[in-house]
Amino acid sequence: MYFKDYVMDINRTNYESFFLLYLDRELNVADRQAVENFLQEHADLQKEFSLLQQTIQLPAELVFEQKESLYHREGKRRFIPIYGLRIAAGLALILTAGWYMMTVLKNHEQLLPVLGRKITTPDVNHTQTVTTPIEPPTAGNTRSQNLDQAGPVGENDLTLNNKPERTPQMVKKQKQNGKGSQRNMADDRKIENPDSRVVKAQGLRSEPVQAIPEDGGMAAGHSNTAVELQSSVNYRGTPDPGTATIKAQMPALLVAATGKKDVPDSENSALANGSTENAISVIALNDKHKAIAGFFKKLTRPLPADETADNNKKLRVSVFQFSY
Amino acid sequence: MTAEDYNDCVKLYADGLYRFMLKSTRRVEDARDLVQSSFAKLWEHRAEVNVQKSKSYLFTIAYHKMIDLNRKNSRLEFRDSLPDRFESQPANNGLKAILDKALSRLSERQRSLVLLKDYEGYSYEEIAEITGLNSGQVKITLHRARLQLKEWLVSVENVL
Repeated sequence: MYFKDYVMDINRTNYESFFLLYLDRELNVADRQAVENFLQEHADLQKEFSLLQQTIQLPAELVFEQKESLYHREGKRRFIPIYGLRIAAGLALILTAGWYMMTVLKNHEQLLPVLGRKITTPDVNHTQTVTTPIEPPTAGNTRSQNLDQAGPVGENDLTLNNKPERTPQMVKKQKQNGKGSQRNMADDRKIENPDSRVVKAQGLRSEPVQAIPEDGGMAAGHSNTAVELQSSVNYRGTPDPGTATIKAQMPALLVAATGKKDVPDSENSALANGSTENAISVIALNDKHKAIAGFFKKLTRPLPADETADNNKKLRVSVFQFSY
Repeated sequence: MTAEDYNDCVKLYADGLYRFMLKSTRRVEDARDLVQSSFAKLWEHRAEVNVQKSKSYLFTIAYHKMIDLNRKNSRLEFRDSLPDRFESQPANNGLKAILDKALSRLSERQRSLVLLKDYEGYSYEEIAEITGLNSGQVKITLHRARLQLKEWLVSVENVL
């Protein structure tokens, strides 16, 4: 679009405006041609046209040196191309394998017994509580009530019924037993009198549990999602329908229990009153690791009685629990 | 306008805008500041600016900022009595120096219109859009400025 606010031909009275419009490039082709023709016809006006032409400013070669400071790069994204599908697949495989190895190693590091577990057996007549140095003792009745109100057994929460009050002798005995795991293990192996069985593995951070099979046998049960503790025979020599169920999130369980083979009636009555000691160990294991299971079986075998200790009125149960 | 379009504007128009501001303000520091602030405003309003209008948008911003700066500092009248720092730069030839001198004697509006016309090649309509004048005012102002420059050149020739 060219600027021309009037419609008239160029002549000697209006040529200056035409010259300026011509120099400002505001005329169309026809008007430009008309100006050029007018200049050829009027040579005396060429000098004036030349002076006006000299007024046109030539662009100076100036450069803004701080141009880099004006750029904004934040909108751009960097792409790191991975050339080759094989390389990408290899990297993905390596990363996946690394993640898997890290996960497996991390799970193996968690192969430690769980502390502070509580176990419940529904058979009231055959349960007692033995405290350990790890878990502070509490009043038996209160604890049983609380645990009974806690709902079904399981989820790392095991309830004990008919727990006796903790006596100073028991505390003293526990302190003595807590001096060393090796000594305790040696002592346990010596126990043959079911009345004085104490299974301890404090070095392994075991937990005491209750349940005393009469014949001192070992019962084991395992499940993928739950742990079951079951004594095949009760103290009175009859099959015990009651089971002590320990539900925990473990893949497998091994139950090792020790008890008297021949329990006198007097001791049975004492046991019913919560004054007889036996031992049982519950070991939660993955069934793939049978060697470890065998180790704990040996660890929890019936041990000779400690003649000097007052174990006749105690029940000691240890739990070894492992998570995979 | 995207960031890439903005960067293209910097690449294409930064030098011209700086030249326009330097010729208008005749101060290097002011010209740099005006260019910086003009591009900063363009970046802020890039979402609203059409790419094809970006150049006129830039020059419009710069022009009005320059007017505000000159009014604020009241430099226009005072500058004529001071040694011109921009004139101290060596000229390529005699005619250019004479033209620079003649340009400095124009009014602020005349000088801006001449620079926009000669340096950037804007049409009357575009100059009117940038400066806020109408095209008739632009034409008249430019013609008067050309005639003043011609008279200056004639007078110099007479002296020489």
